[in-house]
Order: sequence, then structure tokens, then C-alpha cells
Amino acid sequence: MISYRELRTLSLDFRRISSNLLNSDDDNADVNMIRFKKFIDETPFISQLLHNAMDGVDYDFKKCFLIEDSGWHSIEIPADEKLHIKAQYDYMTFIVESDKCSVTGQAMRFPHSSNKWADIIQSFISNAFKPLIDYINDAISKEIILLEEEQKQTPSMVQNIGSVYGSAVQGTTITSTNVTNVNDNEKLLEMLGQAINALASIDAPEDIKADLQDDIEVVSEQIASPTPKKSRLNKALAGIKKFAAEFGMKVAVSTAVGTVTGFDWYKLIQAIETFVDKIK
Amino acid sequence: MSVEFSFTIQGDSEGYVTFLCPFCGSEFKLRADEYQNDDKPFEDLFCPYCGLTKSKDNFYSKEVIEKVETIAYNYMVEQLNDAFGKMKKSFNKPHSIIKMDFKPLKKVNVKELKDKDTIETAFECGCCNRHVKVLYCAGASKVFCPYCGVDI
Ligand SMILES: [Zn+2]
Ligand SMILES: [Zn+2]
Repeated sequence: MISYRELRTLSLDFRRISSNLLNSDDDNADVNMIRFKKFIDETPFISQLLHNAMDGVDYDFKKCFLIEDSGWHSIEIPADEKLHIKAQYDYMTFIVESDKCSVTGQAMRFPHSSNKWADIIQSFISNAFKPLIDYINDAISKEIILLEEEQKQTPSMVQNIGSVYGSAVQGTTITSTNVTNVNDNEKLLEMLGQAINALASIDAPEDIKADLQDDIEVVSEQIASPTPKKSRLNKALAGIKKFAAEFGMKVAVSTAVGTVTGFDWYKLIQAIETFVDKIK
Repeated sequence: MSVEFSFTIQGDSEGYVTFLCPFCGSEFKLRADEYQNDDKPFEDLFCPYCGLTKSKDNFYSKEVIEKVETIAYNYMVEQLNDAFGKMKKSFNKPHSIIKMDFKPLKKVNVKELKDKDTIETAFECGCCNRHVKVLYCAGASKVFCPYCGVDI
């Protein structure tokens, strides 16, 4: 029987290899399909699952995948799930084992709306084989849940070992406390300057931006001061944190025209927190 | 041509922002500070529901894509208006034979993005300690960590 640990690893491996297949383009679709097929055939848990579903089922996959006509190919999904599983498995075997067939060649024969190779191939693989992927994925998840429930019933010996290990690790991190130096403060002041610049391009209400600017200025003053006040810093820090939680999402989106970037408010908050911690 | 645009998305009250799975179309939320933590960079995201993975650019929500398109459109409008405005001036000099008329294109309003608080449950990954908010029915299915892909 497969162990809980092995099953979790299998789940991750299967999802990775399925995603690779679903994300295929013209260059790698055939390789990805061969790897996927090999994986499900050679992993005992999955091949057993498929055998259980398909053994004794007599069904021609060309009734589900209408690929014989000279016109467009099409898919007619049978109501019985077992027939559908078998049809998908056999169609995949047909593509992988045939010398004349490629994934791209098949994809082109199904109606498509995009003119990009990757889109045509990905929508074909998703339409034709995603139900098989979902079937296997769900079966693995269900088995994990079953094993978890069995484990809950055994006493928590393992947990004790876990927590001892945890505190040992914590012990080592505590010893490495940071030491203040002038350099750090200069860097922080520089970041605060950048924050004020970044403010101008943020699309947030003006009064909120004004409050944030006040907070940043308070922090700058305190850092430059020979006797920084912890209470004033904490108050300003709370304001900056509130802003970051609400407006600080930096989005990096690639578009046809360019990319989107922003200022890292979280790095700034961390740096201020480190400074506040060092004040006695 | 490459132009940089910058905009922000307001997270929910706990700083979570909505994403959309390209495979199963389900929405989930990630903490903005963890998503953009430069100390723990990542290329791919896993869907917490179906567990499939793709590069992170494929997980933006409809609203974000719409907003990016609007900003890009407005940029284009600005460029065109500018170019045609200049052309009109040079065509319409006092002794010019050809006259040109041109009405500037209108820009589209850019919506502010704000995530509402919803009824999702927050999970912490035991492996990387990062968080995800999902719609969850206890015992019905597994939840996968969007960053490292393991089941939570
Ligand atoms: Zn999904
Ligand atoms: Zn994780």
C-alpha cells in the first residue's frame, strides 16, 4: 500500500506533469504527452486506478472522438464516466503510438478560434483530456483525505518530536540579533525618500496620500534625531502599515505595451520595525 | 516599445488580493505582502483548488486584466491625440492648402480596484508558512499551497 508521504509526493508530481501537458505549445506538446502517458502507466497507484475504471469496458474511442471524417473533428462525450475515461486513455495511446499523428496535427483538426499555436494546442488538450486529469487528481486527493483521517486516530507521538525540533531551531535564530549601525539608518532615510516619490504615482485618494506623507516625514525626523521617540515612531508606523495593507499591492503585469511596477512598502515597514526594535 | 505603468490594488481588510485560476476558473486570495516578497521570489502559482500550475502572470483576476487594458488604451489615446494634434497644427498654417480637422479621442475612466471582505477561510502552508484564502467545505476536498503546491 502507498504511504501518506508517498501519496502527497505523487499528488504534487502528477499535478506538475499534468500542468506541463496543459501548458504545452507546438515545440513540446508531443514530448509532454509521452511523459504524461508514461507517468500514469508506470505509477502503480494511478495505473491501478485506471485499470479499475476501464477493465472489462468495451468501447471504441472513435465514438467519443469523431476523428475519421474529412471535415472538422469533434467530441461527443458519453454519459457513462467509465466509457469516457477509456476513450480518453485510448485516444491518448493512439496519438502517442502512431507515427503519423502529432498532438499539433490533431489539435488543428478541431474547430479553433485563435490563430496562435499555443492557444489551439492548449484548448485541444484541455477539451480532450482534462476530464481524465481531473479524475486522477480527485482520486489522489480523496486517498490523502482518507489516510489523514486514519492518522488522526493514532496518538500524537510524532507531534512531540516535532515541537522539540521546532524550539531547537528557534533557539539558533534568537542568537543572531541585528546590531544598529549608521549605514542602516542612511539606507532607511533613502528608502523613505523613495517612498515619498512613489506616493505621487499611486492611485489612491488624496487625503490618504497626505496622511501617509505625514507619517513618512515623522519617521524620517525621528530617524535623523539623536534621541528618537519610540511612541511617535510606532504611531507613524501603524499608519504606514494600514496604508500598505489597503493600497500596497505592487502589481507586475506584462501587457502588450509594457510592464507595471511599484515601490516595496513591505520592505520599508520591515526596515522601520528593525529600527524601532533597536531603540531602548 | 515598452512603457511602464504603475497602479495599486486595494486588498481586503487583511491585505488579501483576488486571483483567478486559468484552469478551473475559481477565485482565491493571496496576501499582498507574501505575493510580492522579494526575498522569496517565485515564477509559478498553483491553484489552491485544482492544484494545477502555470506561470503567475496567468492568474490575474478579470478586474486586473480589464484595468491594465484600460490603462494601456488610455496611454495609446494620449499618444494618438498628441501626434494628431501636432499634425493638425502643421497642416493648418496660414497659407497651407490642405486643412485638417481632428477631434481628440476621449480617455476611458479607470476604476479603482478594491477587494471586498468575503467569507473565505484563510489557510497557512505548513511548508512555507505563506497564506491563502479559499472557499472551503471541510472534508470535501484538499487545499493546495499556491506557492509550493503541497496539500495543506
Ligand atoms: Zn484551479
Ligand atoms: Zn507553501
